[in-house]
Amino acid sequence: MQTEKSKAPHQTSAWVTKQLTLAVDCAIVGLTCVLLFLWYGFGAWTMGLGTFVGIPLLLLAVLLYISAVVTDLKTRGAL
Amino acid sequence: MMYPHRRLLPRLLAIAAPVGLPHATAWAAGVHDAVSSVDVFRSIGIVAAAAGILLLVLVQYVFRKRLVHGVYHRLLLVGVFLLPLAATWSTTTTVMEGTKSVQACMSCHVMHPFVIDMTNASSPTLAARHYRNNWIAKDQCYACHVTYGVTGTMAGKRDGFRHWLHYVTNTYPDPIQYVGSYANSNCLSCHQGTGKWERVKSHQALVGELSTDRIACISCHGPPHPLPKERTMAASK
Repeated sequence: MQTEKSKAPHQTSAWVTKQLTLAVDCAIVGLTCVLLFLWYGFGAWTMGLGTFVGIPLLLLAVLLYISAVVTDLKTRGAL
Repeated sequence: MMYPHRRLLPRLLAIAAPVGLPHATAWAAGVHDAVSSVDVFRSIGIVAAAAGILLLVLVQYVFRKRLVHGVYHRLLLVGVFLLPLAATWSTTTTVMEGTKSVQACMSCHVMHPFVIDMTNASSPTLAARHYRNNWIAKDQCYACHVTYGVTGTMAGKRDGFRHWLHYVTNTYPDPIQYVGSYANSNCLSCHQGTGKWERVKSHQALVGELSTDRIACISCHGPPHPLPKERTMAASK
């Protein structure tokens, strides 16, 4: 009974979970692109991959994360 | 029971990483003798990106079911928000600073003839004379090819992006041709007002034309770089 009570406030909606999963995936791919550029330095392809693919993906991940947090807080009535 | 050594190791690593990583990144870039600010920014980015990837893979795909809700969300705050922001800042700073270097210009092969000429001790071009006499200490390409000021720097980045796009899509003529006009302000920002410049009578007579770009500095002091025909010949050798 106590376990159910303690679990109840932590239920997240499927939409929030989806957003978080997508944010995590975008962040992993974005960070990998950025890491490749930072490690190998300036090259035509590494710079393009890092700056024009990696950074937009990281910004998308951050936006998705913020959106998920806001949605979650609104669902719980905290906002 | 406390285990002080368990806390000591991460702290030592946290202190040692910013010191050691610039050397490691400089080594990766093939520069062994000096550590620049770009290397420091790169190191911070490498640490943030590697830590972020490791953290997110572990949190999302290895320990997800074992983590309680609060810990999971706190770890995501670090992995999806803080570390990506740190990596973005580091990458942006690295690009903004790093693209000023001659090595960055050299990363596209169409620029090789320009840099080879610039570093050629017997070349008569304006770029080579500036390089040979150490009139510009570092970032020689950037110093002359960006109009000074905030908007000028952004224009330089915009042109850089356009050049990169042409390069990776292979939509550029070879040998490349300079389109547009070269602003005299790039020259005058260093030369105007110096004793040597002031002593030349034609400079005084043409100061209005020079400041409004009606007469180009390179019409008397050029050529700044080898001509397209010379570059083709050099490349075919």
